[in-house]
Amino acid sequence: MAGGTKKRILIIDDDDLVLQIICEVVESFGYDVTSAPDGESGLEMLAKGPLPDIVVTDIIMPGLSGLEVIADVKRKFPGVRIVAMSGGGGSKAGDNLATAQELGADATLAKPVDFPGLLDILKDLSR
Amino acid sequence: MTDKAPLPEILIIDDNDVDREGIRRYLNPPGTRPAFAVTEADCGKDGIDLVLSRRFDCVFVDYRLHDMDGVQFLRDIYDPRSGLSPAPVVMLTGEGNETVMLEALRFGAQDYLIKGNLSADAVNIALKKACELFELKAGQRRAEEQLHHMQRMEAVGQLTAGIAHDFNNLLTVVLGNLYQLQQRISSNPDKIDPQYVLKKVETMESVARSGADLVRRLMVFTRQRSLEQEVVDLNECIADTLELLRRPLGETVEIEVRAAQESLPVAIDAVEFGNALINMAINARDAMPRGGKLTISTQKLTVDDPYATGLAGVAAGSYAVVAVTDTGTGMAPDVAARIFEPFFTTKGPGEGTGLGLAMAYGFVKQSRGYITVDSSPGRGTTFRIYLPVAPSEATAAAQGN
Ligand SMILES: Nc1ncnc2c1ncn2[C@@H]1O[C@H](COP(=O)(O)OP(=O)(O)O)[C@@H](O)[C@H]1O
Ligand SMILES: [Mg+2]
Repeated sequence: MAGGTKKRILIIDDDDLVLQIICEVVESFGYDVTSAPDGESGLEMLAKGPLPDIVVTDIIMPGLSGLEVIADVKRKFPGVRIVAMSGGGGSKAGDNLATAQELGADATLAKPVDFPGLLDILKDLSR
Repeated sequence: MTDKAPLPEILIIDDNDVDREGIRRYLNPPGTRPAFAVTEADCGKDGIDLVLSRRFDCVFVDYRLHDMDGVQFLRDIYDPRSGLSPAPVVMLTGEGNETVMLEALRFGAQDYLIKGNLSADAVNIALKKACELFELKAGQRRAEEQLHHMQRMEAVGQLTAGIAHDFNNLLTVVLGNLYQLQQRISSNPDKIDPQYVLKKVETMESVARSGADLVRRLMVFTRQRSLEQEVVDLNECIADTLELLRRPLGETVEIEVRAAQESLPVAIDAVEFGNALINMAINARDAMPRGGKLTISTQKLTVDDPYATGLAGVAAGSYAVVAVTDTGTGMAPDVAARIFEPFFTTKGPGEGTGLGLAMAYGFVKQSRGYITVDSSPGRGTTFRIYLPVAPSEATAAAQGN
């Protein structure tokens, strides 16, 4: 990707090792990456701007969940595309990724993250 | 009963030939077709060997044998696993010896007969009653075991979701590092920085190890049969269990542990204790749907006068106390009064089985401890488990091996 036209991506995950590796890999794809360790700080960064083109968010997180983040982003920043990630689990069984899609996520990704798959999704969404 | 059906097997243990003959005749009156297959033994030791090696439908045993008394006999055939002897036992005693009868019943005999007033009716009624009582106890025992199994599976199920989540995160880290290595190697195969490769490999190794640790902990809880009681430090048990709980609870629940400084040796089944703690923590989470705080604290408490300390019913002695406090909804008195009943639940189908606290109660009783609950609506709940502190010699022995 040529300089200056780099797409901006915000990645939100409460697991620091996961956040770190996703950031590193996505950066190596040629994106401009920022990160947040929880939903609250993710939304703060969005409010402050500059707006990212894509938000990649985990679903099960302490505090604000990824589902709440998705709903909020859709409402306040309808132009921002959303990728939801989830590794299952959580207190209420049920398909978090399906819910994410209903809330307006543009793509979903089951953990463990398939990195070439993530690359494809990001390419797709930045067109 | 058809002709082909085998006759019920009866064992008579008595060192007096005449008395054995008497019982046998009451069971199989001469001149009629035998209703029972009767085996005889003339001493306690032979009787024990027979009971432990063959199946009998009922055993008649004289209280006073020349090589042992009836209580000794009952002790020797008692199976602590099942909580029963291998067969129903009817104790035969001399006249006017009530203490002996009571003792026999207490040590596991199902019924007794006074030798002075034997009759065909008395013998047959005692036999029937002993068999019924035995079957009832065995059935109850089987139900308890099943309950136990269900409860353990429930705890495992609760943990699995959280662990799956953790595991997928660990795998994400491994896959990401592998992806980076592949990219490096394929884009620049001639110029590979060994430091970079080593760093990636080390990260993956440490992540794989924490995965192995997670599996190990989960295995402890899926083990079918629980361990025997052994002396363990209560604080360590709590720390081990907590590792498993942080994730499933951590989403909305803050956990604080306030452990006593001193070690708290208790003779318990650590797996059972872990299950009890998991269930209480999950209950606490369920009682705090909008989040809150779970506090687990331990302390050593010496009870001199149970009434003075408001612990009526607790025997005097030294206890390791673990308190589990939540800031949740609390319970109305009519709910609190029933929580230890098996199958009592206020949760919807698929959300609660009502087994958690029933089994916690079972564990506590088995450990000769006590469990109390303190709760009122809107003010949260505190469960306290009192476990007798194990003598310190035992701790030393347990640590020695
Ligand atoms: N910490 C708590 N706060 C409020 N209510 C509780 C708490 N722990 C248990 N209960 C009540 O006790 C009932 C029985 O608990 P339990 O035996 O663990 O079964 P279950 O959790 O499957 O319902 C629960 O349904 C709930 O009503
Ligand atoms: Mg429960």
